[in-house]
Amino acid sequence: MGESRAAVTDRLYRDHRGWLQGWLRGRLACPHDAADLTHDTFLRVLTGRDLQVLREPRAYLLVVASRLLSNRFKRKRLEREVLEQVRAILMREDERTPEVVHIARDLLARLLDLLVEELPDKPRRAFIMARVDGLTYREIAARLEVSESSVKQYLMRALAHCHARLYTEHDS
Amino acid sequence: MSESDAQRIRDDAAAWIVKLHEASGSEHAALAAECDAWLQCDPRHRKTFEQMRDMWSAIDGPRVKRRRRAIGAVGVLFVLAALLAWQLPWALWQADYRTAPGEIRRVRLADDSVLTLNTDTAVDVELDAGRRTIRLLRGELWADVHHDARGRPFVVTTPYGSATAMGTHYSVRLASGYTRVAVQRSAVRVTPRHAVAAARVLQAGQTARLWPDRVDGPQTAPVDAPSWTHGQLVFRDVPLARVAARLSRYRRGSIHLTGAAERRRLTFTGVLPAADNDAAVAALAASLGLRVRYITPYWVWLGVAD
Repeated sequence: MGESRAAVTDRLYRDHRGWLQGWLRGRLACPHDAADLTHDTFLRVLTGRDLQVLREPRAYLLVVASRLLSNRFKRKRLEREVLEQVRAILMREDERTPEVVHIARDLLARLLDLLVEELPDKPRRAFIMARVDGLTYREIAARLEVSESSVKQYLMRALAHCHARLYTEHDS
Repeated sequence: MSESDAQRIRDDAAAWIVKLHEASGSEHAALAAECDAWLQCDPRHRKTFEQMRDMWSAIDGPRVKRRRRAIGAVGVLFVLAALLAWQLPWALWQADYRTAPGEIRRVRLADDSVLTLNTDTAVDVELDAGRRTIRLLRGELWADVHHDARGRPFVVTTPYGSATAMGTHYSVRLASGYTRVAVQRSAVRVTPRHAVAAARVLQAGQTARLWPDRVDGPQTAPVDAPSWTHGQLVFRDVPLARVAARLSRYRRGSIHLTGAAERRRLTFTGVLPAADNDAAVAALAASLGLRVRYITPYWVWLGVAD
């Protein structure tokens, strides 16, 4: 890591702030909101984890900004542009170094967090219990008061939904 | 490809992942074979399956379920367990692999990764379609991670957090209260169990302590394989009390210093054998001019020679 954290932060902010604010302005009525949200997004990304994630800065900024946006409006639809950026990274097969795989995985985890929000209550809770809380199908069935085979159906539905949202080409 | 084709493949792939996840033993083997056949009949099947498998495993929750397949290994472990049952809680003596005090053992896993288990160590191993999970229940291990053609991540978990290989060589030691992770090659991502956002990446030549809620460090660490993996315990100017504590980890029982020995504030530099603890104690005593007294095989005192 040749560059100091401060230098990386500074460059990141200079290179992408204008672009992110432009993207947000297209989605918010008030330009002040866009500026605030841009600031919040950078703050969230920069105070988050190690800066290796910033090898794909724009995709990260979009995912984080989308989460802040959806918190603000309780909005459930993810922007097409966010999905396309993330998909482009996940499908890139030219440089599959361990670091790139790690970054893609991290980005995918953040994105899934948003995508499961679009699901109906039970499939969403089943997926979170299975993958985040590490519960068995039987434990999930007991908590949701449904059968184990329903739990499996919920999980299949959650997976199929997330996959469809991320990997379907938007031709229109 | 029509959207209805894509949707059908998606549904099938999701069904395989959900079914395989909790299947165990012969049921798992049969399902995996069927799934393989499905993957091979159309390249789109494999592509969708792999994308979805990455989704399934992208969120690092704690491990969901233990699977036991090697019936033979459980039988062998049982003999060891009967011998040690007086000091081992249940979870340790049904572990997939374990070593006795003083034993160092290399284990080659089905994916060709090699684990070297240090003294008094217990691990569970689970290799499934989505990830390779090594659960360190006790002790210390050194992992030489084999590159996986299917891209499954290699994760060592402990009660305090997890260490995910982004490359090949690293060691993980479970101490009381924290886990020590040292990286010799490439990089490892360490994630505290209760603070996923505090995760950080350790590079080769770095070591850090992993607590349930944070990561300390990192500090610099040697890039060579730890000396214990070659059966050697290396000490450079280490206080006698710490040498005794470290040697104690390699024996069933413990090593103590008399007050007179403690007051001398001795330090030791040298190499002691990991596998022969009595010889190590004798060599240490000889080098520092101390006297060894065995109260029982389990209780050793190092004192000042008369």
